[in-house]
Amino acid sequence: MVASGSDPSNQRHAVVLNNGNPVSLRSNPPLLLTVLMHYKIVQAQGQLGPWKVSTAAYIYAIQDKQGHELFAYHWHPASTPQYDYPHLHVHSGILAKIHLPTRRISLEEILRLLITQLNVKPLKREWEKALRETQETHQKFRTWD
Amino acid sequence: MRSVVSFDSVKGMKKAGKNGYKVLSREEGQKLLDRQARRYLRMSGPEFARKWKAKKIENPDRPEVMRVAFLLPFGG
Repeated sequence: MVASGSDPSNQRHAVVLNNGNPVSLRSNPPLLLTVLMHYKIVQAQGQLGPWKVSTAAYIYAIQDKQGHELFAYHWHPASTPQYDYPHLHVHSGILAKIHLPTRRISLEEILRLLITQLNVKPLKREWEKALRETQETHQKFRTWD
Repeated sequence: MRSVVSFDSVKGMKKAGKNGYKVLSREEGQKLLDRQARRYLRMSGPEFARKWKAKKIENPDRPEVMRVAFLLPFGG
């Protein structure tokens, strides 16, 4: 992962996997994963403070081995204000240009989906525990759903 | 976040710190934005940033556009 920094005076930062390019996953069928996120460093009160990282936008995209996007979870309210809600793109027929509403989706949920339903081989045997712990932390401290 | 998925190739991970990520300098970020804008949209990073801010990118919700637009905080 590469990130653009932690300066709170900058309104928005980025953190991306593999320089923003898709990553090949060990899976059958072969799949590619793209992870792009924006975040802000904001002041927070109490247990959250004095500073916290706040997600500002995300794209989690799954592609086939030819690089064709199969589906993608998006939330980027500043980039496309007309679609300011978390949404799902399914690249199939008439659905391709539809922004299907979803709740907020975490990266942990995408990784769990890949492992449990799309036959991606986990790197660690204790993947379930690792994902559960970080998901619990995320849910405890996030300020919107 | 700890890595739990097997990646065949993740460029730059060797340079990443113990937390699994590397903070790019402004210059490195500008190079990344320029490289990806040329790769996905066949324009330079500064040209993309200029057009994006002026809302002159057609169909900005296209995957290849969003892929570059997400890199603007690195050097746009």
